[in-house]
Amino acid sequence: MPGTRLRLGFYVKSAFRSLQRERRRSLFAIFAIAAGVAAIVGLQSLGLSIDDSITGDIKATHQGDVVVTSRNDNPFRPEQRATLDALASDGRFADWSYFYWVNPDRPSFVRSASDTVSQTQRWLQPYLIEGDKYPFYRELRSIRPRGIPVSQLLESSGDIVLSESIAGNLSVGIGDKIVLENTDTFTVTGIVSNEASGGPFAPYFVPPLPWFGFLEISGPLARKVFAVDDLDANVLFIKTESNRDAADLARELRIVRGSTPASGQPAGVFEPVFRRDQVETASEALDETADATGLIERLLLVSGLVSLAIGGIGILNTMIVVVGRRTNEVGVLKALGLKGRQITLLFMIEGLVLGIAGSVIGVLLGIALSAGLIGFSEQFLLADIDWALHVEPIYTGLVVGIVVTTVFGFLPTLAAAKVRPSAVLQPQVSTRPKTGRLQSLITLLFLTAVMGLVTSIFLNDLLFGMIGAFGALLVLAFLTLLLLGVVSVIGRAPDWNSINLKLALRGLSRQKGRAASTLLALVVGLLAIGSVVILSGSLKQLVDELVEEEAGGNVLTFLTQPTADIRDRAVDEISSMENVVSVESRVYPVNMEDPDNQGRFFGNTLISRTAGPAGSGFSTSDTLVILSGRDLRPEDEGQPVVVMHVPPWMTAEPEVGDDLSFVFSGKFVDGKFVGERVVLKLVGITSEFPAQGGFEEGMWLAPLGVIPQAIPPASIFFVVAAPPSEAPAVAAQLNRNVPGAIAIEVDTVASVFREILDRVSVFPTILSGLALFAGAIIIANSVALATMERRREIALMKSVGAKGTRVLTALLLENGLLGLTGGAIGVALSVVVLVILNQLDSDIPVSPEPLPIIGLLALAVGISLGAALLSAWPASREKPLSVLRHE
Amino acid sequence: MVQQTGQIVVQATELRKDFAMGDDTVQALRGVDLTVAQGELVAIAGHSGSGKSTLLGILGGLDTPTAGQIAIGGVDITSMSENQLAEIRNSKIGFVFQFFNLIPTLTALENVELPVLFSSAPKYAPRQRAKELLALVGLEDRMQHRPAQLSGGQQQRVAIARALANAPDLILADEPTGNLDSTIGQAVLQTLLDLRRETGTTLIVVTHDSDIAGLADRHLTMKDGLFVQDTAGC
Repeated sequence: MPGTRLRLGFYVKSAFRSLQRERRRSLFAIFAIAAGVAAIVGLQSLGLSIDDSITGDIKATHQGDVVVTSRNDNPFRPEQRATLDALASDGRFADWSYFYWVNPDRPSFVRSASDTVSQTQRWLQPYLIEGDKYPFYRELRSIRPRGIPVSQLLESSGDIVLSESIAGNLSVGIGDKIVLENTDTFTVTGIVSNEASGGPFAPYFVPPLPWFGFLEISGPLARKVFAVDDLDANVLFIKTESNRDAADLARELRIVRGSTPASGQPAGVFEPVFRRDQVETASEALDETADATGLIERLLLVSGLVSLAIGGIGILNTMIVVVGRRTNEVGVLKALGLKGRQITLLFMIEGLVLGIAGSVIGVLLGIALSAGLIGFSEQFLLADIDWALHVEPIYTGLVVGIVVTTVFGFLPTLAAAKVRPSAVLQPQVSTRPKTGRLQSLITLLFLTAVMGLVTSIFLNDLLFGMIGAFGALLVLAFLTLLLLGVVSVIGRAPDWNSINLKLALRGLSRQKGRAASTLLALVVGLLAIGSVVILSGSLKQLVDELVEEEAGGNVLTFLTQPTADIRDRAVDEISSMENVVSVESRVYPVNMEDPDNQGRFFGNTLISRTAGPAGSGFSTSDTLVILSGRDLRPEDEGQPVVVMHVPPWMTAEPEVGDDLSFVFSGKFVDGKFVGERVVLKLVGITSEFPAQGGFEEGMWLAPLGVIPQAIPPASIFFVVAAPPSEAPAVAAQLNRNVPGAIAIEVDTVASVFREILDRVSVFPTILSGLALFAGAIIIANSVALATMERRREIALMKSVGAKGTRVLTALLLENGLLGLTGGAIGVALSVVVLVILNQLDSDIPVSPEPLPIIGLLALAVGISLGAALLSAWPASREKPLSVLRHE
Repeated sequence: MVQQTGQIVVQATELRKDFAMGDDTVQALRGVDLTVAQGELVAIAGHSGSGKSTLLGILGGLDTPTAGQIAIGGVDITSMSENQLAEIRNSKIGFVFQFFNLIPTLTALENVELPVLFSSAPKYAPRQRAKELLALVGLEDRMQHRPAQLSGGQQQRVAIARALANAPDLILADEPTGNLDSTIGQAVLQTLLDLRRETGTTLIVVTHDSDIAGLADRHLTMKDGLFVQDTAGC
């Protein structure tokens, strides 16, 4: 119909003119939506890029068509290799390669050969590879020198290729020499990216150390340093001709039997060769990985939706003000014959123009954001992520942006339709139109259902989407009510006779709803970033406590070989130092018989510690909690006593006073342990043993002397306590004078963890920063709206003598208060969330430090003031006469 | 004087309007009767708060009475829905306000187009009609100006042109010269009278302006929600 077409033309024209007229307000509203859409597009693009990179070429990720991984990190047995050789000679697969992720009972260390004075040791994860084959399906090239295959860099036995992290830490480059395990010298022939480790060793969500080096597995020097037998490996990669071959081969590998007799079976029945190992095809790995990356994608999408919902608050506030300011105009239009629903349509089109502009800008920003985040996500996941432009996030962003704008802008436009045309007869009496409560409620429920539907489309789960949307509505309603209360309380705060403070407090109380919604945006942003900052701070603190305080000393000294010769030299060296005490610890593989449940056993490791030559006690840790009985004492030396933690999986419930039977170097034969048997009396039951020097929890502690000398320990280490200022010198002296010992300052170990935490926390910090950024735009938008509404009032104040600085101060004070309150509530909520998580899982630490909290509050206030200044500054500079004439 | 046909354009009977002001009820209109014939110029005067604007709003379908009946052009609008009232306002009534009430984002031409655009059955081509009317009020050289770029008198003439857009039966003017100085007010008044003469439109003017009152066919005075004086004009 021509009339309708003409009217639509008017609506669109009117929308554009109105947006143009209030440029600043329009711009903030557009950016409020753009920030949310950018978050959605950026995060979804990133999720898809991660998905593509990890699952797109699963063979490259998995590094083989079939991968066999030793479950307990033990090297493969000759029988297993013989089986593979036999299958290979039958032509069952194309090729195979092997890999040894050296994972002994202690970490490996490296130092620069040129550092002869301090001999500072750094943590290194050695990867022993077949350079000419590894990896089958992925290009592994160095970044220095650029683009050289690793196979060409590991030609000599003394060559090593380092990750860029460890090369940076050691300050070494190509051609420099490094010393591994304080024993042999290697030449750095190449440097690869931190993400190059990849493969099944990087399970993507629990990243391995980015401090690693590739060595040739068959290189005699590497084998000597790490005591690796020829062909030792803990991962086997098999390349097949087709996927079908891979599935058949995996099936066969799971059941093929070797020559080891099966226990408890008749003679002639043999154990499956790979019974204790994991055999997985690339497509099986794909399923697992797809689940995990799907989860990441959803998490990222939900983060984006939260940012967009915050952006929606901006649109809501904007449309409320737009409608409120144009009450008279609506009256005129109605007087001229425009109907209520046409008024709604007019304002909806205006909102829609904002939504479309915001969504388009958001899509562009989002694409840039996803490209910018790739580097951080690589650091977080330790995997090469290739950025690619995806179409899906673009239309997701456009559709969701426009839907959210329509949804959030709808209620105010509905109110516009309620304006009485007689308002035009009293233009000086500005009454803000309101929708009825019942209508508002029904509309709100309908719009929430629409949001739920949108969410469920993206999450592929209608129930989850709906529950999420209505749950979010309830939470938002609760928080808004709470924040309304907070705003009311702040508004009633005393002004201490300060006119600026009085103006600020009145300003806050005037638009409680908007102040509450701005506060909500700030709270969500601060909650997100506060949780990340406090959690990462707590983790660092935990690391410091575990590594530095609970280690009981400040220099850890490991022996590369647990021989008596090296041990004696270390003891002599430590004894020769003044003001230095130490505790010697040995680690023994051990089995404990369960007297109540014959035929079952529990394997574990025993740390036997005693006072060293200059030591003063057994338990160096202050945090070891004795649940019953007692701790070890110096006079226990030589006595057959033990202190232990009873792990939850242990069916036997030993009590203090029980005699426990330990089998050293044991083997399980015909339902019994065969080995060196030692009976120890249980004198104390402890809480979990803190992790120390890389050792795991749940260890038994006994005086050193009770273990027969004939039993070889798996490893020996010393915890050395020196005066803090002398710790570097003590470590250097031990490194120099005790060949076969590696001394490392505890602080270095802690710094490794701190560095990992820093790297890992960058990505979530940026993600939560997006929510905060959206919050900042909401503040800028709110202030723009407030100054727009108060133009006349500001002009009147100035006309009776108020200076621009007073106006500015009052506006900044108002928003500074808002920022401080939002910051305080957001930080408090993040602590509450972490405490709840801590109650659910005690591994999640929560120990907020004052400094980061002050920093977060300063950030909240700073963001509020910065955002407020954008609009408050020009508002304070306006000439009163021009405002009074036109407003 | 314009020829009156005797056909009744406005027929108001026992109009009452109450407003709630907190706990109190204010009786703005207390049983007003009014009949206006086609082509008539009626001036309504009275002190502030006497009920003039309330009456004008009800006559124009901008508001509804608490009691009584109102018919415009023989059509009872008393119990019409909001949408029906919108149709009546668009097709049968034109408004001229004291504060002009032009849409600030639109040009003079676009403002005058509006009633035609809003019509469900447009009688005119909007642009052409607007141009003719702006020419009629002497603003052919100001068509592309926005309200802020026009003087008060010019804005009011744009508002008059807009009121005439759909050739309404009735024009209601609320203090049309109240926001203008006397010279400009005089010119605007003259424009209004000229147009009335040319178009034969019925005109009800709420005013304090004695000039307008003097030119009216009838001069009504309101006090406390009732007409207290009805004087025939010149």
